[in-house]
Amino acid sequence: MSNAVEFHGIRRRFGAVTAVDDVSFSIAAGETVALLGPSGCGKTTILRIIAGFERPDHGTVSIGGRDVTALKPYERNVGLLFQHYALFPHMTVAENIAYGLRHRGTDKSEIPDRVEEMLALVRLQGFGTRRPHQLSGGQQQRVALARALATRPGLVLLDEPLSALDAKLRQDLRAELKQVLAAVNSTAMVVTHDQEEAMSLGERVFLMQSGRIVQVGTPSEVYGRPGSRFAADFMGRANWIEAQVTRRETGLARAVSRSGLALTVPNCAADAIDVCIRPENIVLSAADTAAPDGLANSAEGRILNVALLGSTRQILVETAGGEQLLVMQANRVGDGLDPGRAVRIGFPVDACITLPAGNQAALPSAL
Amino acid sequence: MITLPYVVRTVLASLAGRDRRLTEAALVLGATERQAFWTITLPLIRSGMVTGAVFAFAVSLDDVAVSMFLTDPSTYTLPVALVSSMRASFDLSIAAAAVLLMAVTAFLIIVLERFVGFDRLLGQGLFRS
Repeated sequence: MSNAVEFHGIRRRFGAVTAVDDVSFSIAAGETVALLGPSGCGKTTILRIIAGFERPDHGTVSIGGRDVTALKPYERNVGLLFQHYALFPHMTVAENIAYGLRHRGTDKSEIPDRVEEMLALVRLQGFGTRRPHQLSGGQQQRVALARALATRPGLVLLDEPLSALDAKLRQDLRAELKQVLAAVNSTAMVVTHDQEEAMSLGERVFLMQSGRIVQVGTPSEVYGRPGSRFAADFMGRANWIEAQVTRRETGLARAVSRSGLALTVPNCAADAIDVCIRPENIVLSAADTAAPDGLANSAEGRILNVALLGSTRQILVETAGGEQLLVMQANRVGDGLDPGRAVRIGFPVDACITLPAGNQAALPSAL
Repeated sequence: MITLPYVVRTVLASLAGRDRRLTEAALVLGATERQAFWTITLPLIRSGMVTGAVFAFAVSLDDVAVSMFLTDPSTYTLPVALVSSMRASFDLSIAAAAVLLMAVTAFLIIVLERFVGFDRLLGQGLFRS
């Protein structure tokens, strides 16, 4: 058994809408993957097919080497962490965690020990007799996780695990979630529309668009080398410069943007290109100095506005040619980066992602 | 019969208010559909069923007009009897019956509070213990 989950040629239609269109992937045992995509891309349908709430029209699903395509949810051993936890309100925390154990035929005498073990795993010892409504959101989420993991499922599905929590708590729980999943060494799939959640939890990211998986890779691959304009925009903030290649050198291309900005970018087969630069890769320096060493691309510009985000600032810079670029800058005291100020922007060749122009996405799903 | 909609409505309301995901959670945890119904669905709609029953009783006790049309000369409900005796003569037994009705209503409310709890009928309540 090399792969914990095999998804082969899955297709699912609802009326005229193809929710999942010929999707295949596999997840190795012990691996955590993130299924990422905008709402309506079909990721929830995939989750429901794996859990057994939906049947695919075509294709097979196997978990742990066993074909489960036609099995009911209770005939598979899949753990599911619901977005809003779905704890049973009329049961105590311990009863919630024991529910799966009782129905999966765990020996009665073992159940209390397993429940204690799970409570310890999520650091909620002593909370066994409470009711779900007496717990905070974060605690409820941990109970739901304990309940999902109690039966030692072959695969744990996490449906938007952190989206119901506020931002601060989300960061803490993200780390904790990762620890717990590693501690039980379970195979897991995180289904989310939040790219931060996907990149921080998943060892691999499956990026979905319109019912298809359009890119698979480690978080840094998908973020740093997006395969399409959609992937680049979905994974984070991106500046786009449309340009025309004028000359090619080994591995490099010289190009000129519409506004006349000369660029040196990684090579690309197409002549009409879209260049993506992540805001954190643009360096600001004083306007009257030369571009810092190592930055092949640079331009004069002026700060249009500054949005303070706490430890960082988003600075919108307009170049002399009229290109508007978003720059992410650490929020340091007294650097005088205020609106109206003239600055020089610069970015290295390897900060540029070159895509053929008009590459909106993968092919639209053929109906 | 007239009160059937009240029962159906309150039970349906508690069925709809119940998160469908709870049943799915039960299934994914290994319960069959039947087990999920007995352990999750039924306990959660119990308050709706009790509420429906109480409403049904209160409404049939109360609805003079409907009762008048539905009763025949030999059997009649208390409100119907009250109205006709009010027409015929005015004596203290009407007042006594009215007091009795109020007492029964109050008793029912207390029963409802004891067994279902207004907190659960009205949602979570403001304060959590």
